[in-house]
Order: sequence, then structure tokens, then C-alpha cells
Amino acid sequence: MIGKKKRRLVWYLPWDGTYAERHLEKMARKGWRLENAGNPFWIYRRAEPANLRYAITYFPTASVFDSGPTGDQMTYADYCAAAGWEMVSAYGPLQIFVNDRPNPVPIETDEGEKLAAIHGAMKKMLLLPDGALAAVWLVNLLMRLNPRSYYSILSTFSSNQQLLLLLAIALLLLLSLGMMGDYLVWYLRSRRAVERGGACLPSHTLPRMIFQGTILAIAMAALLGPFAYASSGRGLLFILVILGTVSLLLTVCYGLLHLLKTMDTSRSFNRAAYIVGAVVLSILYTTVVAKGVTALMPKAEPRASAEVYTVETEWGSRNYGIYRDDLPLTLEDLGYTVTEADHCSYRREEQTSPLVRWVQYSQYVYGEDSALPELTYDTADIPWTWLRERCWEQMSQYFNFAETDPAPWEADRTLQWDGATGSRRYLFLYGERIVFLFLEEAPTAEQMAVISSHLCP
Amino acid sequence: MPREKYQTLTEQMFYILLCLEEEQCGVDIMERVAAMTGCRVAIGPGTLYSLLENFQKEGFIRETKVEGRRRSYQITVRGQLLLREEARRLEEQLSHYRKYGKEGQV
Repeated sequence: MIGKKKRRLVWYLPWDGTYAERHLEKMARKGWRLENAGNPFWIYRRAEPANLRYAITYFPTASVFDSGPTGDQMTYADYCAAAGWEMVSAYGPLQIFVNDRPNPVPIETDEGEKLAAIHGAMKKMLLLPDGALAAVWLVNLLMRLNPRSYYSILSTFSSNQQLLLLLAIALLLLLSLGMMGDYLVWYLRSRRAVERGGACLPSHTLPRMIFQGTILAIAMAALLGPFAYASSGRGLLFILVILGTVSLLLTVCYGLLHLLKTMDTSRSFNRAAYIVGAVVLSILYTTVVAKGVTALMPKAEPRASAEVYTVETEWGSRNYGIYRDDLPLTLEDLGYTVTEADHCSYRREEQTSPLVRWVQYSQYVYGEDSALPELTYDTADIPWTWLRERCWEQMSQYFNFAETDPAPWEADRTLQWDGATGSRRYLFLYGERIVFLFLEEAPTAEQMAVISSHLCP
Repeated sequence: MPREKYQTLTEQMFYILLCLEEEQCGVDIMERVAAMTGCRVAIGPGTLYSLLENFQKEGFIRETKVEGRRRSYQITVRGQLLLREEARRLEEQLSHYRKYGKEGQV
């Protein structure tokens, strides 16, 4: 069995090396000694079971982009060697030492210096990357919650898939902020304890790891679940493709870093080359995955129309789908006479989530000689006051609406926008319902009464 | 603030500075302090490295010799003042103990 190797994903709070130290000591007792902790999976080799002491320390000025341990780091390692601590692995500021003496002098015997080293390393290893990640999630979330387009807010909140995506982004943001907050609370409390002559505080690593793992699993399920579900029976394949390609991307990025480190170039060169390489790889990955997702997902077919109306023009024939859906308000209700020759299409498209029920209605007129106006309107039923107010605010800003008397419409609020050609756009608030109406002509008093009675819930 | 940080020295700081009254290689300080104190005071190698670096930055010690990765240090005048101030503080503390404490009754 000698020579056999094992890889294991070691997950621990980076500021609390004790948890990983105990894990390494347990592995050594079982006959597995750490060989390399430089990639996401730590590598162990088979050895005689032994009672060893491990120590995880930090060297804040070291970087993952260094081609090897720096001169200062080697001096540090020499001091440790004099006390019986042999360096097993170093990756960036993280250093792991082993000692086979029964009661060795710890590497850190001054809690203040130990805390300073941890904090210096955490700025690089945790606060900077997690802060950048949190900023990316926050910008993404804000852009989705404050869409520039008029329909996007309704489209987002009425789509279960979009809501799950928002949930996933919010959870990932929470995870990054939580990790930073957790560390900062630990650091400040430890600093206070050290200033009073005490030691750095212990961290309850396991429950935190379980909590983080759960949040991450929920976020991934929210992110991938809807796509997997929508890929009609190919859900497992979809998830495997995504996970496989992400793992491949990470492996290639790690391989690139490893290659740069073996070239014995400077830290700044390695960093610049790695960033350029990682950006190029990410763009390639996004392109390939986007194509893969498109290939896996079934093509969205438009809903079949009741009939197709074909019009011959000098540029060729054009087909119009004629729908016969039930609409709560039609041109007929408004007093217009509609005939077969008008080739009207009555279309209703609904999108519903637990937050919003959004229905788009249209009565398009395709008859070449028809003089009828077109009628389009949306209703959005939003039981949540905060969301309704948000949607109202956003929709009202989009068209530069002006507040007008709601009484003729029997609405709670009415906004109106007058187009140059006599067309009108209205935004009505009826209790929990927002109605957006487009009319090609200014309505009469009778039509206003019909509209309110048909669209008020 | 450095003044506040070094207003009183920890035992480890005190013995490192005391060792460096003579030129000494960094790596040998741990052994020397253990010998001086009969192993009562142990300085971890990580702590030793950090304290030497901080002392050098503050001008309490200076690097005297570099042979490969072996670096030797010696205390500076500023470091000696700090060490004497600490010794005086400890002596005063001890004299207060002798004067006001109930030595012999314990």
C-alpha cells in the first residue's frame, strides 16, 4: 500500500487553522500524511501511522503568484526547522508545518503576533476576493431589481425561473458577506481578548461549514434547477455538463497558475499573465456553455394559433397567427363593429409566480382595409404592497405619465400619457391590480366606463 | 501606536532584546532564551520571526550580518533604552512588592 495517494477536499474557516490541524493529525494517525495543500484538493500519501503535530500558520507577505517560497519565507521556515517544525506545504500566505516531537514549542507563542499574521493573510485571502465577489453579486442583483426596460420588472417578478435566479444571487451575496462578517466579528473579538492578555478566540468551524454548505447547495439548486427541469428529461445531463465544465475551467485555471509558477518568473508577471488567461478562459467558457445550454434546452415553440392569415404583398407573402383567446376587454366591448374581414387576433399571454400574475392582452387587426384601431393592455395582480408600489413607480417613470383624475375610471389612481397622433397610454391602479392600457384614439365617456368595469378586478 | 505597543514588553520581547545585547543569529535566539530561563520562557519560531521583523522596523535592533539565509542581529541604542526602561519598571514593581507585599507570610 506504500506510495498510494489520496485526495480530499478540506473545507475549513481559513482564520481557524485548528480544525484543519486536528484533521491532519487524525489523518496521520490513520497512516495518511499531507503531501501538498496547494490545490482545492489536498493530497496525502500513505505512510506509517504516527502521532504528529501539525501547525497552520500564515505568512502575510507571500502570494499565490510567487514562483516558490520567498527568501523571507525560507528564513521563517529555517526558524521553524530549528524548533523541529518542517514545512510540508505552502500556498500563498498559507503554510503547513509538521513536527514529530511529542510536545513541541508552538510556532506562535504570542497571541498578538499570531492574530496580526492571520489578519494580514485574511486581507488577501478572504476580505479582498470575497469583497470583490460580493460586489459582483450586489451589482448583478441591483441591475435585476432595477431594470431599465419597462416590462422587465413585471417579467422578472412574474417568472418563477427569474425569481429563483434572484434567490440564488441573493444567497451567494449573503454567503460572501456572511463569510467576511463572520471573520471580522471573530477578528475584533479576538483582538479585544488579546489586548486584555487572552488568546485568539476559538471558532465553531463545523456548524459554520454546514451552514455555508447548505446555503451554497440551495443557491446551486435555485440556479441550475429550473434549467434542469426545463430541459425536458435531460436535467441530470444538464447538471453534469455544467458541473463538468465548471470543474474543467477551474482545473485549467489552476494548471495555468501552476505552469506560471514553474517558469520562475516574477510575482507581478505571474499575476498579470494569470488574470489575462483567466479572463480569456472565462469568456471562452461562457460562450461554450451558452451554446451547450442552447443545444440542451428544447426550442421554445410559439403557441399554436387558431388559424393563419396570409397576406400577399409586393415583397412576398406574410403570415399572421390569428388567436381566439378570451379577452376581458375587446374592441367590440368599446362599441366598434368587427367583421371577419378585419382578421382580428385575440391573444392572451399569462406568466404567474407567487408574487405577480401578469397577463398581456392584445387585439391586433390584420385586415388590409380595416379601419379599426388596435387594442393592447396588460394586467398585473400584485398582492404584495411593497412590490406593487415598486412596479407602479417604475412603470410610471417609463412613459413620463402625468397624474390625472381617477374618478371617471373608478380607479384608485390614474396616470395618462398623450401621444402626438392622438394615441393614449394609461396606467390604472385598482386595488391590488395595475392596468396598463394603450389606445390609438382618445376614449369617450362611455368607453371609459366600459374599460373600468371590464378591467377592474 | 508603537509607543503604546512597546510601553511594556512581554517576556518574549524582553528576552529577545536581552539576547541581542550580543550579536546573535536569529535562529539561535530560541535556544539561547531557553538556556537563559531554564526553559521557562519558550519563544515559538513564528513569533520570533515576527518580533525580529517588528523590532528592526522600529529601530530597536539592526541586522549585522547575512550569511545565506542566516541573519544576525544586535540591539541598537534605542533598543537598549527600551530594555533598560523595562528593567527599571520591573525593578520598581519588585521593590513595591517587597515594600508593601506581605513577603514571608505566604
